[in-house]
Amino acid sequence: MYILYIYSRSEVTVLEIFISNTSDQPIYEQICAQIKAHILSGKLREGDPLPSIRNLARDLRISVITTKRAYDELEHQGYIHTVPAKGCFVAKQNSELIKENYLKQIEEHLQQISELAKLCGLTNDDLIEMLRVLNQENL
Amino acid sequence: MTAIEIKNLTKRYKDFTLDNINLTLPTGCVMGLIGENGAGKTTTIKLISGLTAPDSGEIFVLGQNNKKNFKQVKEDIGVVLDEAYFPEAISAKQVSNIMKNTFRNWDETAFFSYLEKLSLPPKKAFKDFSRGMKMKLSIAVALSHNAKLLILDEPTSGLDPVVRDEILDIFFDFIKDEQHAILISSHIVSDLEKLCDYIAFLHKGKLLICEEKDKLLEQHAILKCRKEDLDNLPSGVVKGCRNGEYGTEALVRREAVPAGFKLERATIEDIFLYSVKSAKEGKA
Amino acid sequence: MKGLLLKDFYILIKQMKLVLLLIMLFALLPQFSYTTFVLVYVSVIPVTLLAYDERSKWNKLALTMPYTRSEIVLSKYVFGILFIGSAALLVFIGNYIYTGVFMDVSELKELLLFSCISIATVSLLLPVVFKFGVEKGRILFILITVFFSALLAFISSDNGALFDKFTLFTEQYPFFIPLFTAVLLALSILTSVSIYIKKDF
Repeated sequence: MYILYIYSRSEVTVLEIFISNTSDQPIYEQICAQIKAHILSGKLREGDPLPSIRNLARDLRISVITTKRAYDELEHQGYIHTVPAKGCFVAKQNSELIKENYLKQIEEHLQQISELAKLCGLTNDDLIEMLRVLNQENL
Repeated sequence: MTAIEIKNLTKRYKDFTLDNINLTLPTGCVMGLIGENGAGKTTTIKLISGLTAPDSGEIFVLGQNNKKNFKQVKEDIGVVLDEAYFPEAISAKQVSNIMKNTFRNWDETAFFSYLEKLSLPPKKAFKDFSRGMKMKLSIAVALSHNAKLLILDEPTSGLDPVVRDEILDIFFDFIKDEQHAILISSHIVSDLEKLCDYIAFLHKGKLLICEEKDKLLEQHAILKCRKEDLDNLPSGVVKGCRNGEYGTEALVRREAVPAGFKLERATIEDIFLYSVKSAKEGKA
Repeated sequence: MKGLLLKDFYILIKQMKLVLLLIMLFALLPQFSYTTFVLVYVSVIPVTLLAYDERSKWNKLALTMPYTRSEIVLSKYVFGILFIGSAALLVFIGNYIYTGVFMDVSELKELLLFSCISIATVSLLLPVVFKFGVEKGRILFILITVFFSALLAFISSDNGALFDKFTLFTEQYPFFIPLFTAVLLALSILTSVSIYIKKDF
């Protein structure tokens, strides 16, 4: 686990990054996903500095090549941008794009759910009920 | 600039040959040398440090050919050999005085703080040090003259896990500076797995693999199945296998395995063991 | 080179106290022995230091530090010569303390002669030790001592005739022996360095 302190906006933001060595997901993807999540949730805001790839690597005890890859991927997807000689910062987020991204993912999941539901004979009402129960549990 | 560059390095001994090694360690990175006893790790490190001369090939350390004007370069290299070769009567404090008159950039304060951190008594004679303490002293010396490159031959062997972790932390700190680099050989693959950016496998004097650690981990996986399933896989997928009473375990190339097989993460140790196994079988 | 000399100094005072004590006694107190002769014993110091180096395999470590192989070799010679010089000084002082007067010219010449014998012995021993190790070096030291004793016996056997000739020769050419020693030393250093440069560790 890694706790990141961001000293910006005259306050300290504590960010957690959990790396699992046993998960099948490559480590750079894990980092990518978690930083993305922090950005999308608003914990990391536009202009916030990210730790340097070296510091992140050494504090997480992983290879600097991995962190570089994670940052490259985040930059490629538009979540962060690099200022030469200064470091990486959270980029301006296009909230429409983000929403669109999420909608797309939901559609894909729904497609899968629909197929599985057919296999075991669930109706739409059954599915909605399941969703309702799930959301209640998550609250 | 690369920290270490090795080209076509060959060294022949009576019953062992280090055969045509090619290796590059970029600045800012850590490379792990893994190999069995006698694979050639110590020989490689001796060749890089100038203790031994190669039969053919060239070695460049911090941009400089190690056959010429190597004295200046050695100011910037911290070497930990397989054993600590300090004179038996001398204490750590005296070592510091000697090093003060040896290294241009000897940092006495840093040295004593390492002594304290690693619980080393400054006035005790070296011959009264335990094996672990001897290695710790070597490491303290290597870290106390503002070296840019650390060359370490099994620095954590003989150390208990708690101390090993402390020392790994120190190495992690060292490598935060992008001008620094580390070449480290070890048996204890789990240490290397965390620290290294690149991994090199040595076996009987030959370099089997030299690759980015992440790529190695991504490209390989462990497959557990029946022997028949293994035989049905396309050729080139299986990199090595172990047949047991109750099934077969194999190292496979992840992307080439057809869907439907359950794959487990391979560790660097797995990859190493299977590579050596198949190298041995290849020769049989 | 300073670091190497310092290391040898530490070893000297920590592990060779007995030898040091004996040397000081021999140098300062004429009752013990012919003081000037101590200088021959002194020549064994560099070899003993090399023995300690060999045992701890220090030279492996030294080569990872900013020292050239020449420096490592040279440091043993420098230490030896400094030590021989110090011992000679000690004999000189001891003599003054004991007799109340400074040594006269003939005694000084003798002191110089023995210093040269000492340096010559070191010059002969060190290349052998560098090449073959300390054990063989010790054997050679014994042989040299035997040789010199035999030489001395031979020279004084002839009722001193040979000895007189020798003395005359050195009177005429007073710089012969120091010069000869210097040449021997230079050759020794060159040989040791070339041996060491080729060594594998």
